[in-house]
Amino acid sequence: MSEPQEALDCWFKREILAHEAMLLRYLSRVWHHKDDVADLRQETYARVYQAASVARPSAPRAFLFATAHNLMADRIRHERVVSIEAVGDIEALNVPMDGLSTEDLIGTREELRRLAEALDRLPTRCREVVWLRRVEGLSQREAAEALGISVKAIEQHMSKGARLLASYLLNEGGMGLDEVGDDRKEVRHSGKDRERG
Amino acid sequence: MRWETIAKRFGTRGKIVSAADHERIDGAAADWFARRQSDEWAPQLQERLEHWLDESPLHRVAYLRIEHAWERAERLKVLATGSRREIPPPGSWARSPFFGSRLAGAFRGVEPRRHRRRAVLAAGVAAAACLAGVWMLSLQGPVYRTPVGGLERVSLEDGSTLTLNTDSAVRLEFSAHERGVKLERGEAFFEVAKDPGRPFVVETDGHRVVAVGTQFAVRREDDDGDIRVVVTEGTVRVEGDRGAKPVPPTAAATPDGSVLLPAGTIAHADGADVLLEKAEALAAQEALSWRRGVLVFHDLTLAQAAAEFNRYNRRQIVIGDPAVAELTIAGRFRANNVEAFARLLEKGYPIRIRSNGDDLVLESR
Repeated sequence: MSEPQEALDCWFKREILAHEAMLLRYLSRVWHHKDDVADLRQETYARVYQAASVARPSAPRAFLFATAHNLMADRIRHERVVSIEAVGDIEALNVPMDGLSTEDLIGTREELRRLAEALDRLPTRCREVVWLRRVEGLSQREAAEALGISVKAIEQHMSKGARLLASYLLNEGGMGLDEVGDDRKEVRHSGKDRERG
Repeated sequence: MRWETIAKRFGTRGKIVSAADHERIDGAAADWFARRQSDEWAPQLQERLEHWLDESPLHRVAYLRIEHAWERAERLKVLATGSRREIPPPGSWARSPFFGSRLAGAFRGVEPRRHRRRAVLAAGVAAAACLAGVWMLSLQGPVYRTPVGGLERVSLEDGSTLTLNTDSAVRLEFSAHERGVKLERGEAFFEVAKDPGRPFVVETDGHRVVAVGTQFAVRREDDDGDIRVVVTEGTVRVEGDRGAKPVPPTAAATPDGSVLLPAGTIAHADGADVLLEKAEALAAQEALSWRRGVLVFHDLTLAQAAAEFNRYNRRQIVIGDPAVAELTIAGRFRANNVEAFARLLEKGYPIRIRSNGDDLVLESR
């Protein structure tokens, strides 16, 4: 991988993927066909990535939401059946656009708790494979020996496990806005950044 | 807006990819990712992967999402047992020292009670070890002291308790008509047992904070005698060597030249001025979250946050760049885990951390 490509990928993970939970909430509030939300998300990501490969936006978070907004507006224009609510919402929704350096800082212990919970949600065999490969650092062959399954099966569990982890971690665990309770609430948003709703 | 037009220019307008396509792309990305991790990764495969990634930004972002989650999961390594036979069952994390006893209860299917007791026991042993050598008898009365990063709760003979924050010291000067406590250093929280005939008086250089039965904290802000008082219950009175008057002037002033602080007040006494800040109960509790080893920041500049962390740790954070000092930060943090704080800063802000001896120097990147 070339150097600028790698830098772009790192930027994308750090500045864009970090906002996935909020992006999903935004998309699903505006867009009433829930089945479309995942592809709106990926489409938004693709647009952001493409644009950033030419010039990095200085306010990544605002750029992400503007892109999502435009994508939905485009789709509404192109699709024949449009729900009235969707059109109304898209004008009314006031997405905070000043997200310059207001990163969400997650307490390390809270992050570890989320990771452990995501791990625990994996199907049993899948979880065992992810545990041995990611946590214990075993090679594919070593993991296959430890579990008494084929190397190919390890790879399949890895594929499934990595994919599920991404959806558990990025979609739902992402922001923890809904969390309550004193010691557990280690996520804070700087004032303006807080989601309206 | 400018970036909006940029976003439009690069849109894949009109080309709508179906949900099924996304499902397929996501699956392919995961398969590539799994193969990339395998033992038999070869240069030809790398070429093919790069070709696939270059085919469409949809491919690339799907792959990056999975890679990102996998990288994040690296942190799970702290839970490793070093054994390939024992894979901890789901929900068994309560036993891990990396989860606090309260957090452990958040996991489903665990028995928090037993583990909690164990954690409390461990904390008790640690506290006892710390307290040994802290308690000293002197001519003027016993002194309690904590090292940097320390946190101690002490029961007093009158039924009151005091909690000492990091790097703090108090000297008890109890007499028949006054329960005197000299705050020689740092900060302490007091839960005062009622005894109308014998007021509880916390003294610093320049100020006296008087209570009958109440809960409050006093912190020395510097060596010039400035203090901060947080009242969580009852009322306390602040007296000053040079008098004490409330700012802004309110009914809190008393005829004898002292200032009354009701519960829910955070007050800063600077010389004769006592600056009153009406605090929500939550804010007062947060100002005292150090009693649980937690620091809570609301839109603090990084310089202020660093100064706060530095009170709790030998390892000091140094602001190496004025641009860094002005960044604002919010969150809850473990007071004694400065390394984790620094790592988070590096992740979330345009900051680079440089080690200089024992110091962590923050510079912009």
